[in-house]
Amino acid sequence: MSETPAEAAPLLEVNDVSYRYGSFNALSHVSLKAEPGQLIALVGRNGAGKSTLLRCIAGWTQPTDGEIKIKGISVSKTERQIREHVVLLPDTPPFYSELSAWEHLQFTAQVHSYMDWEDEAEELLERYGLLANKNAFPFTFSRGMRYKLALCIALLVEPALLLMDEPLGPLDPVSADDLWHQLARHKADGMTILLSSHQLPPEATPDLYVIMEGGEVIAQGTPDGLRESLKITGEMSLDNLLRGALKERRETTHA
Amino acid sequence: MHDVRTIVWLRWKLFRDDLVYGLRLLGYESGERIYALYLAALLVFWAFAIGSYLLDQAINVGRLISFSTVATGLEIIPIIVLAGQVWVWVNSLRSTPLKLSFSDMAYVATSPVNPMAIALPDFLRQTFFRALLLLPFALIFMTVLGAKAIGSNNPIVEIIFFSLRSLITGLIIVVLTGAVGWLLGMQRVIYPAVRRVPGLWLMPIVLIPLALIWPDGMLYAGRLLVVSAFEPVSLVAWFYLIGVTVVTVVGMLFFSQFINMTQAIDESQLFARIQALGIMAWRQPDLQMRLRMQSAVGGRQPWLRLPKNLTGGQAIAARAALSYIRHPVMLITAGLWGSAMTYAALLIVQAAVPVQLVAAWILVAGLVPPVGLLYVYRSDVEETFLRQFLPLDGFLLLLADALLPIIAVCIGGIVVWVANAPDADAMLAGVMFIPVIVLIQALAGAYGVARGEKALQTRLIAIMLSYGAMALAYSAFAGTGVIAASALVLMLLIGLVTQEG
Repeated sequence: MSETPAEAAPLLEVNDVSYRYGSFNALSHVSLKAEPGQLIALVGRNGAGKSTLLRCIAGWTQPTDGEIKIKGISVSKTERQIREHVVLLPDTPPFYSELSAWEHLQFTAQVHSYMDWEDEAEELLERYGLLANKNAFPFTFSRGMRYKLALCIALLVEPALLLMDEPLGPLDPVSADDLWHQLARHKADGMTILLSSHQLPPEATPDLYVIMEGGEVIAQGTPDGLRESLKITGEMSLDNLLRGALKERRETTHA
Repeated sequence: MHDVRTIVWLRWKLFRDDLVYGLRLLGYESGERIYALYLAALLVFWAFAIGSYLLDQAINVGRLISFSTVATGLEIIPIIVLAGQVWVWVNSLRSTPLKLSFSDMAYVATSPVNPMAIALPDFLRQTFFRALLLLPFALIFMTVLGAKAIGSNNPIVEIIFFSLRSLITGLIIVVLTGAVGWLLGMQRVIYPAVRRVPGLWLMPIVLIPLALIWPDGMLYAGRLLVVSAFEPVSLVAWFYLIGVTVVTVVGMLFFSQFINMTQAIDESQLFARIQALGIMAWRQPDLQMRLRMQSAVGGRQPWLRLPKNLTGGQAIAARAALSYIRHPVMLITAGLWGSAMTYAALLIVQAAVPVQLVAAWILVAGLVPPVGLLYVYRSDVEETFLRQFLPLDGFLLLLADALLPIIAVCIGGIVVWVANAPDADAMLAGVMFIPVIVLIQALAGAYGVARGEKALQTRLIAIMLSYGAMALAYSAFAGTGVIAASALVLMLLIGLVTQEG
């Protein structure tokens, strides 16, 4: 199969991807595309396959079928090469027991041979309220603080595609709002953000929703497009979207 | 009393579940009572056979040693007993012996159960397992001494009685030592101020120099153990030891009623985290070590800094070095492992022992690798979140992460080899061969870790195949064969680690 040239290719292409655990289909024929600077929300009930899809895109898990490309490069074929373009933040990120919060950032910057990274690292810690704890070990942090530190590490790398698994779960409401504003800034800078979530702040407006159920994508589109196709009359909340998509699917199946 | 019954029932249920889990590893399915009986019979037969063999060997060894060795052995027993007591009491003062699991914290500690009902079964359980662990060693040791001390013409039964008499005294000493330990350790969770007294845990060490001034008092328990082996001890002496033990146990139970469960929960956090790992705590000792180190350094500032001017692979190597330097115990144990395994290999080579012992050496090398060898590599590879920031292939990552412990194991091994090598040729061969063996250990372990599934089996198979190939090559082509086989094995393992890591 020929590779699409990086300049012409979309940032992310997921083509007919399936993933099976034994006889269980965690993902079934999933396809989606993302362009630079888009914010995409993966929506679905527990066990819908959102985390598995994120892990496949990040190259943490090999899909059973189908292909994933980032900037036209196949993830499965050149898994190491795509690592400079994509970072996945799991909901409970691990850390090195022996390194302080600051040393995590220093280590990441040095491994990637960054120059003059200190100011940016300090600014990130400041922005996420961790500057006072920069010399503490992350295993002494609360869950929310750990997530913020992992986010700082990810943002220091400035990936083209940032994948976030349940980013708002560990955060308090104020931090969640702050995070959302920060994500909007990174999006404006051209970063593509793909996140799975059960909740979004009211002012959040993803460019694209991907609604999953039972390992399949049952609906995807822009907010306006989905409002029309799923006949959502009230508020455009995740709850209404999911209910609308599930209802639509039931009706299609019965018909 | 009702509370005690409830907690004893709970502890019995948990013990039974653990036992069933362990038996399942031997093929037992719950409900198969006949198979459980078969396993129990097998265990009894095995214990009897091995026990008889060990006692027989102990008697033979005892008959060969000199009277002066016996005298020295008998003299050091009271000192060993005192050292053991000090060790138990120091540990009790550092962290209370009353330990709660996470489920205990949730359901037992928050219930209106009298704390004494929690302390009593745990004290009995701890004492039982401590006795189970210590007394067989004491039995063997006393049998060796007894075989000579009471005369080589005496029947074996006499020698066994010699050991058993001391064993009864030993059991009482274990109970007394444990009770004193609990009594001291419980003060931490009764009076929180005790926890804040710096260096209090060092107090029992004072007993060691005190033994020089007042040996009759400090070494009383150990001396009674020796005397009781030779002749029936006077009733006064017995009553004194038993009386003190009973008073201590009663005092311990009395004080246990005042345990503050909030303090006990606070003290039990590390224990609960390790206990929650289950069998993983034993299969991956570095995981247990990581939790202990986290607990030790949690509130402190990190010391030393990552060098600022390094990039790429150098930065990864520097980070790994910093991890090991901040916890040097891993490098020390790695060096000691290298020394011990090399010394064992040296004995095997010099004594031309049966092939089973060579196989046992390989098995030990595969089953019990040095704890710190892959400590950093494991966290890099197993935590995919961290791995995604490390732009190195598996082999280079292993080199960067494990360079320091590999060097430590090599130094430990080479020092022992050079000091004991029979001639210059053997010395040179060992110096060249030890790094190859250590690299195979690291690569086989890394391949297991990188594969993720069945890490232990993968490591064992990789090590056995590697050493097997080298042994075959040696038997067919001598030294040249080993060099060729080593090169091939290393290339194969490097390829596998590069691909999987």
